[in-house]
Amino acid sequence: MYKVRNVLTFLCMLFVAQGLHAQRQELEAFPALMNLIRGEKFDVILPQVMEDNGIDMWIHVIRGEDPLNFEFGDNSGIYIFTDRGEARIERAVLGGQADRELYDVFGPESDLGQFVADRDPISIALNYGEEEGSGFDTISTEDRTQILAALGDEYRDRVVPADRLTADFLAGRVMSEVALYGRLLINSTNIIESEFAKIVPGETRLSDIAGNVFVRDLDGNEENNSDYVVQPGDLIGILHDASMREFSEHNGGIGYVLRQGETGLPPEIQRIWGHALKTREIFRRNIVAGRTGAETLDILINKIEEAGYHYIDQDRYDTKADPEKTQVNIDFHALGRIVSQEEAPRISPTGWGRDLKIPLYHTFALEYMIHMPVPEWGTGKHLYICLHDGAMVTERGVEFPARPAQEILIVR
Amino acid sequence: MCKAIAILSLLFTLFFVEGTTAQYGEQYEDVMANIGDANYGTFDDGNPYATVDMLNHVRRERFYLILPQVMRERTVDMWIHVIRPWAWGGTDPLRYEFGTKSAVLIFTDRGDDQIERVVFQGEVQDPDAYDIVGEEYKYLSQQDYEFMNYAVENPGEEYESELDFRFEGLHEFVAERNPKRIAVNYLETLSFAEGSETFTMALGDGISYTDYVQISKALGDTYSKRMVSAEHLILDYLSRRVASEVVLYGTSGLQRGTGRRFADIVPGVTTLGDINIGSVINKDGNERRGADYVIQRGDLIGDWEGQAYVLRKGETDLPQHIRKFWEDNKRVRGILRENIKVGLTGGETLDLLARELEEAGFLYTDYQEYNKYVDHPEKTQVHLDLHAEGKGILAPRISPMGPKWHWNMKIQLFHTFAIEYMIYMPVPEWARANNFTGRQMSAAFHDGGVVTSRGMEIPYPDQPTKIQIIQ
Repeated sequence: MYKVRNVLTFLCMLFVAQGLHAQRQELEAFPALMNLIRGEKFDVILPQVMEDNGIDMWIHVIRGEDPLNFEFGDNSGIYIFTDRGEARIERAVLGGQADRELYDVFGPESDLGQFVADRDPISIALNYGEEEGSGFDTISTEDRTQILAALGDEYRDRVVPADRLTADFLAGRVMSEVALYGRLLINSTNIIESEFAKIVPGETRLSDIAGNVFVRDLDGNEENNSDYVVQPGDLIGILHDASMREFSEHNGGIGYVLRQGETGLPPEIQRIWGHALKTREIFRRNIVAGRTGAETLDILINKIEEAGYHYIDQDRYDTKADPEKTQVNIDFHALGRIVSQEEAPRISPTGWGRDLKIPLYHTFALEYMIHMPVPEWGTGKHLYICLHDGAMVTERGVEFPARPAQEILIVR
Repeated sequence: MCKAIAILSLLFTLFFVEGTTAQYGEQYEDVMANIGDANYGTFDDGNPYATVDMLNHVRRERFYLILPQVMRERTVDMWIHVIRPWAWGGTDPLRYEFGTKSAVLIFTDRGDDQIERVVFQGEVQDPDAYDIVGEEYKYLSQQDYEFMNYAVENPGEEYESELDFRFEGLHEFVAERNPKRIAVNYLETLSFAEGSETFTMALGDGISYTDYVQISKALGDTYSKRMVSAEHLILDYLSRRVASEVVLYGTSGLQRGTGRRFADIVPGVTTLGDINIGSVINKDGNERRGADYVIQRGDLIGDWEGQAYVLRKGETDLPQHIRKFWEDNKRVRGILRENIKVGLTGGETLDLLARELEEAGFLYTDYQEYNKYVDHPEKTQVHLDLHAEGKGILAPRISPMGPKWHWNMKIQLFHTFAIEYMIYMPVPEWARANNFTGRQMSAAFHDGGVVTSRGMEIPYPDQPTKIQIIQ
């Protein structure tokens, strides 16, 4: 063991310079890592989500571009996953080619009827959806008609929509994805910090800065990636992404531009950061796996209001609210696998995914916006910041796979 | 340890000088050159993602998530950890976790969600990880020689030892918190101060007799009687992982590459020297060595980065015995995968795996070599050494090796470990070709694993678990 560690150490050293260089770029997708993630999703996530959804057989027809191309394959064909009582879900492709390391059974599409009858599933999920907004209603009418015909009377009635199953499968994260997610978070944080370092007050325009860059004035009017020139006293938000093939995340950072004579953050800026930390703590302690996004949102609203905040369901200062209370807006959307950022569990007032259950190891953005009134500056005047940190739900609550924002950065 | 790995060690020694010039040490240049500097961690070694910011983040997450859990499980409401200044932290197992090589650190459960974290004396790498750092006390740090200033400013006031200064005010501090059980880093029941392969770590046995006397004196009768050994608390704290450690472990594993290809080998032309391999096994099961050896048909080539077989004339696929070996390997992996879980101890898991292997027709062996003195020498033998990895390599350990406490520790959430095992398969064809003097096909595997609530998962690509075929 000892020797192995030393060997690994030497090997690691060889890759250091290359690795450091890679941090500022779109990461190269190692085929071995991509294959590992595919295999792990099949081994670890697939049995769980099929059981959770009460599905014995999942039929997914691919004809070109599809939300599951990365997971299943790019080739046209009928992909069939059957729970036959073993730890491993049987993986079959009829009428298509696929990785023989990942799939167990191959055959022509014409075998479908017999294939299903041999396995006699009680519940068959097919890639269509009945819920508006799911995005997983991907099978064509023609294919659906042909599949149902091939299944025959006995099995046709056992077919149910696969949209929730698909969402659960995509939302499930394996540890190799978590490690990749952490890498991407580190990368985007590095980029954000380097973008802040470029800013010259009075010269730099928001459009000169990479990412989603925004500044709001004390009335809540926003400049976003515009030619607005950064001024002393501005609170600047930057969101920037990092990606590797189908995996992506975006992180956030906040900077304050010092006014003349200031040497550190003024009291009101420190105060709004204090609110950011206080609410972060509430979120960390009250998000658990197993609840839906909507249920979680209700709990969080209660908790932050108990703590003296005013919840707002839009990212806009509520002029009718108690002017003494700081306002908080929440949009904890999924991060990681690109397709499932929108079609995944979402702790937010909007989105199809808010009715989906949050799975264990769910990777998401702890994205929340704070609007803090500053009454001494005038009625309705307020400061605004957006927190956007990559997080993950574990058995212990919310963890940060990589460093979240630690402070409001100072821009001189 | 397998021969292939030993050979590789030599090979990679050639790159050592070049490797060290990569300067990954600059990442933790203040109180710690890098946290692997005392044969300690692996996740920071050469890992470009193990930056100071990330390592500080891991520390803080551990304080936030792990510290309250382990102190409450052990019903400890105060933990005093002393890292002695003259040892400069070289043997202390928690110098990375606490970010210091010399300090007196006090953690108190004051009933809040979080544990109060205090640097009572000394300096730390990451002061923001603590609630109170020494400045609030009379004496900042012994290495700042403040005791000399104190002596000048307080003529006539004498101390029996300069060591007193580290514990100045301790009684007052502790009395204010009034803990019932105070864990201190000395050993009480564990028989080993260190693991079998970590010669430099004191683990729970951190303080000296002098320290013990000084602490007892500073605490006074009431509180010194409440001292207990922190030995198990320290092991608990060390053996648990947070999600950010999985990230570092996974990124570290990716740095080692994903195996080598042998496609360029031309039988009868390519030498071992051309492909930097020390030896091969020929068609009769005999080892052939030397840089000038020309690779022949029927040779089995490989090291821990990959294996290849050169087809003989007339062969279109692997011979049966080689195919069986790799099928056996796949079955072994499946057994590991299905049976390693959170909650069992290392020893319980080893027993379970041995049972499962035997039920599947293998012979589990405690030895890291083929054992011919068994009832069924024809069976494929499997040895396991699934030791912890990542930050700390000690425990829990699913292995017949190491001290008993390695086996007695429970596997925890996000336990990162080496999927290290050896397979020895007797080959009758080779035995016949060598007058039945015994020949086995063997290989060692060393990949990475993480244990979650779902079982064993793979955080970074394995080295090849399939054999390549050379036409």
